[in-house]
Amino acid sequence: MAKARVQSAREVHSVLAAGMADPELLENWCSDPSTAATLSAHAAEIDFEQVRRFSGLVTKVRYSDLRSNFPATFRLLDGAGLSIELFASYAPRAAALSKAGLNSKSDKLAALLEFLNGWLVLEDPVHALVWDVIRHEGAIFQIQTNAGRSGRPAVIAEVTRDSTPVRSAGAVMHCMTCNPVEAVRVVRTHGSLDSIPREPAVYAYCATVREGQIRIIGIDELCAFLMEAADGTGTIAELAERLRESGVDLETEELIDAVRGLVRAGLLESTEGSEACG
Amino acid sequence: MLGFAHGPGTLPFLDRNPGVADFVELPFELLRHDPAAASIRNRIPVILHCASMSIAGFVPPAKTTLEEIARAAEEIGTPWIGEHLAFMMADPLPDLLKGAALHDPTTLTYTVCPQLSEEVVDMACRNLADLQSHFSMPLVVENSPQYFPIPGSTMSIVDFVIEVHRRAKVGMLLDLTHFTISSMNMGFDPHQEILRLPLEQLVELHVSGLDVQEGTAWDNHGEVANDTVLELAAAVLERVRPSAITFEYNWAPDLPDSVLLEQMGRIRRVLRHG
Repeated sequence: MAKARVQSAREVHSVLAAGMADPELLENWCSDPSTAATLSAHAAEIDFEQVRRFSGLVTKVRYSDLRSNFPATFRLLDGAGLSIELFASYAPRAAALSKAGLNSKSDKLAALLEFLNGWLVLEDPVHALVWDVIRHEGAIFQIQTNAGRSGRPAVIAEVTRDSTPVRSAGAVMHCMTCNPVEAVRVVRTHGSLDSIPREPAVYAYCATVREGQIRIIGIDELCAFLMEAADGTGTIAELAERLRESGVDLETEELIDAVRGLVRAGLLESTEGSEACG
Repeated sequence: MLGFAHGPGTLPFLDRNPGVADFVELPFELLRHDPAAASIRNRIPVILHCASMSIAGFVPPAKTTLEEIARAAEEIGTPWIGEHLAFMMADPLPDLLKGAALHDPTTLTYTVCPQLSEEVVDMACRNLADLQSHFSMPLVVENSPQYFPIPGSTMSIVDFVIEVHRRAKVGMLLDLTHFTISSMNMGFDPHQEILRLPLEQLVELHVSGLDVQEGTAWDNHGEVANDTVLELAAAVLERVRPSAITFEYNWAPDLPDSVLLEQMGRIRRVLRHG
């Protein structure tokens, strides 16, 4: 049996601070409080699960710099009562990231998105909404961050069956469970989440020619296929053949029209096959 | 005086609404990393707020930290220095096998509610006397939010705050949201308990938002104050007039101007009619 030790505020503070500073240690204590009890007689009385949630609040505050780009995400997480548990679970990852000196907004966003992808239960409509909204705001952030970086002028060419489409630099596509623009509007005006119509749809994002503008377009299945398949290696005729082989009844002319539409929208660029192949 | 805690949305808000605020509360920790932030004093008075002194802790802050705070306070001309009645530094964990410390003292970058006991009241009062000697302007002390019971505590957070102010005779920075959070988490009546505080020592009020998650109330500077917090503000302002009332809406730059102005309007109405 552990020998009773002197009980002092110093010891209580020491255990609390050590746990807050080291989220992995804190998780161990949550799993097995008896390991902390050997450090201080009072430690056995500490509600480590609450300490862990407090570390979630602290981690959330440390990610406040993302709020200017992700206002609806944070508001939704708070409003849905998810932010404390999310950031408590994420705290060990955040601590590791910070220790590695990865403190930029992009670093934090990439790590948080990766974590959320595993943490959210997408069968839950509210979790699915969080996933929609953070990817929506993330796409806008990504395009704004990369604006002017590519240095590659848009390639506009006559679209023919021999053209090779390629996704425009920075263009992003996400499968959503709702219209994300409407979802953000509802979240930011404190509306009821139930009022957001839920219907699976694909949305594409790209920068427009006018600097600072971002185009968000709902696209159909064929356009989504093109956005996915347009990697600069296949001509439109070849892509049409792939579709036909997979059972899609489609004329090459229809695909040409779809590519033209996506090129006009700025989501695809189209080059002659010989250019794309170098 | 009505003002705002500094955040990414504060200066744009003040640009859009000139003359609406009397001051901005600036964190020392921001100035430490970005000394250029002090230039804000050229356009609006500044109050210095700290989370660095570990008033209720047993490990003192570095001398250089205190020197930096004193320099910053002089430079920006703050009328007082706000600091939390909390700890952020603590002894290292002991190595029970070797009897030595496992690591250096732990230094957090945020404040934690201390054990609420005579031992900590004594320590806080000793610390306050020592810390005050480093500054030419008064320290004012802010109540912590309590999120969970602290083992070894022998008094409520209200009694703890009362005792420290009674013994140290230090100015009070009453964070009404922290007070409300503590009342919700620890189960006391905030309207009744707030009247037990030595409000005659009140210097500054803090007002911000809170939310309830996992059965616990948490600080949330991304939301505006709820009715309870504003009712407590009215109850306090009926009795005393602090030198400053600070809206801490510094986490969320997207709060609409209309919402912030409405909050200010509610407090101004109380000040006019209270």
